[in-house]
Amino acid sequence: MPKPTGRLDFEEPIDALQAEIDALTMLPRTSARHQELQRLRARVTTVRQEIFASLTPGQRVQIAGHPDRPRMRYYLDRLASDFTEIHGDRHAGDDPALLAGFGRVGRHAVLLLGQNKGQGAAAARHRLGAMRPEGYRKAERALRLAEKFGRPVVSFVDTPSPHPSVEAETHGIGAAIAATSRTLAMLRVPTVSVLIGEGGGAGALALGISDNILMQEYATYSVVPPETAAAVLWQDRARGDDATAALRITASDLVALGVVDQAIAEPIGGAHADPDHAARLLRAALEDALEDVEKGSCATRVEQRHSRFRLMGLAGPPTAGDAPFDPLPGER
Amino acid sequence: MASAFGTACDRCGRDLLRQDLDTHLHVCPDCGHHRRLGAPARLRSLLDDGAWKEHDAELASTDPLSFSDRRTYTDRLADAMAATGLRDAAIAATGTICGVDVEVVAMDHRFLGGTLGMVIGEKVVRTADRARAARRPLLLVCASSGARIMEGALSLMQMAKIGVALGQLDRDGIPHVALLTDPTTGGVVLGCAMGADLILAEPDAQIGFTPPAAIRQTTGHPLPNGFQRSEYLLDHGLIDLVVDRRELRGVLGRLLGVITDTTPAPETPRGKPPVESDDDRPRN
Ligand SMILES: [Zn+2]
Repeated sequence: MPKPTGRLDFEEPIDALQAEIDALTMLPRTSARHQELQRLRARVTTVRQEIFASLTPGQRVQIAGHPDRPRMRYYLDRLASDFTEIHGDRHAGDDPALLAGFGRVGRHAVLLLGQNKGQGAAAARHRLGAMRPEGYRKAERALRLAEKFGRPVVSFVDTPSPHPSVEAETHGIGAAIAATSRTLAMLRVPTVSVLIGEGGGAGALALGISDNILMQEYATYSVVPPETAAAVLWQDRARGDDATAALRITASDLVALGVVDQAIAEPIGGAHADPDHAARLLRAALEDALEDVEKGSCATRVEQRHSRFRLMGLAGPPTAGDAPFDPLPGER
Repeated sequence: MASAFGTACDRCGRDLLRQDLDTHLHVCPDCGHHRRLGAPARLRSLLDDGAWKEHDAELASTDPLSFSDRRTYTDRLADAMAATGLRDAAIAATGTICGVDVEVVAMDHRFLGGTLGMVIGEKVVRTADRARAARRPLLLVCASSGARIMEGALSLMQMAKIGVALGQLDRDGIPHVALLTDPTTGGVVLGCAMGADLILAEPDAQIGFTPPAAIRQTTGHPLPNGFQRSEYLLDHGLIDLVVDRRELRGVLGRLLGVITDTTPAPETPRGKPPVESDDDRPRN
């Protein structure tokens, strides 16, 4: 198992056991050592199961943002072959927060694109998946190429928000996101999205308007960060846990709301506990999803995609009252 | 707050008389400060004879998450309905601007900050459908401080839903014009508004994706002068025009007339009765 670079407080009992295991492995090999190691390893599994069986919504958010959580690049290396990365928006630059290229997933030759947070030293350069307008324009360019080449699209969503900067605003982050999301929504080729970590607001949705939407068990998807909701609605940032629960941002919540099609299981302890296993589970789900969306005619698929979003949050019937009026026109 | 006895300008402090507010459409005659307009007043200021046919007025949020913070969402909705007489934060309408037929959605910041949720999403989509069917331009008047948090991911999904409807306008060659007024803020709102074919804004409106405080906190630098204001966006090539409210109807009429190749009516009267009126029920 890779050496952890950052731990969550509720994982402390696991860390303590792991430290004991590490200490024991330094000792000479004896049968007593062997037995004790086996006992400790079994204990790690049990403790992990116990902790992860009863996570609070707030703890789930911490897992989604875990520094060791596998990034898009990790999964790409394990589920795609013949991958060639493409670069640049042809206008202003190349945003490393957005990774795009053509490759194969199983028997499917596809465009793969998404937010790549980067790991360790690379994380700063990738700005933890906070994209700039250049990134969205690169994504839009890639999507148009997929359409032209007739290649299905697989998008990975993992971003806290667009980059909060003067440059992002000045170079048109709103327009870039509007254009990218609309291009994705209107594609005639099949599209699959998978939420692998943080799905933060409009910047996440721009890569998530697809025929089939998958979500890893411990990923999150939220219109605003829970702490923002806590500050705005509770007027108390400390109420983040309450806001997290009320916003219903977990995979199972979003499947129930019809926002996500399918939750993908993660290894016990989350994807960071066994990244290789997580990648195998993701790959299987992704191949099934691609198989599924490639069925049927293009016209039917586009029609189904559009009516699916059309029906999301359908406002209800009248409850009372008559035509609106404006008792306080021009009030500020 | 407007009253029969007048009110003070928020920017220059001048006493604004009721007749000034009417004549100047709630723009300060001295300093040009644009006071915010609710959706009915907005429609009266833009549409010929101050009249329109309203659609889908009955739509109201279903509180899909059964959301509750310090108060329940249904309580907040009830208060906003009582305070504004609206059922949510937008009016969908058919009308004419200088004789040019147009389908409009006007948001209303007074209703929970004009936040964008399932009702605005549904109204925009249905209005876009009417625009396509009748081959009329769509005008989206934005006055929104962001997403309707209490509808969770379903408020986020409205950006996808609206995006699809606007994509269908692109496909069918139907013009889509956005008018950005103070405030037009937040990712979900900009993700809808900035995709318009043509974007107009009122002077000095706040228009931005990330809140300035969050940017300052991240970068640690002071923000440029006029950051996220209409004129700043115009300077940076992000919008087409900044137009004084008193000129808006004429500018929109001329522009829509040309892009739809219809001849505008030369002397259409501005909205009557005046913008300040207690009788705001739509006609037709
Ligand atoms: Zn003034």
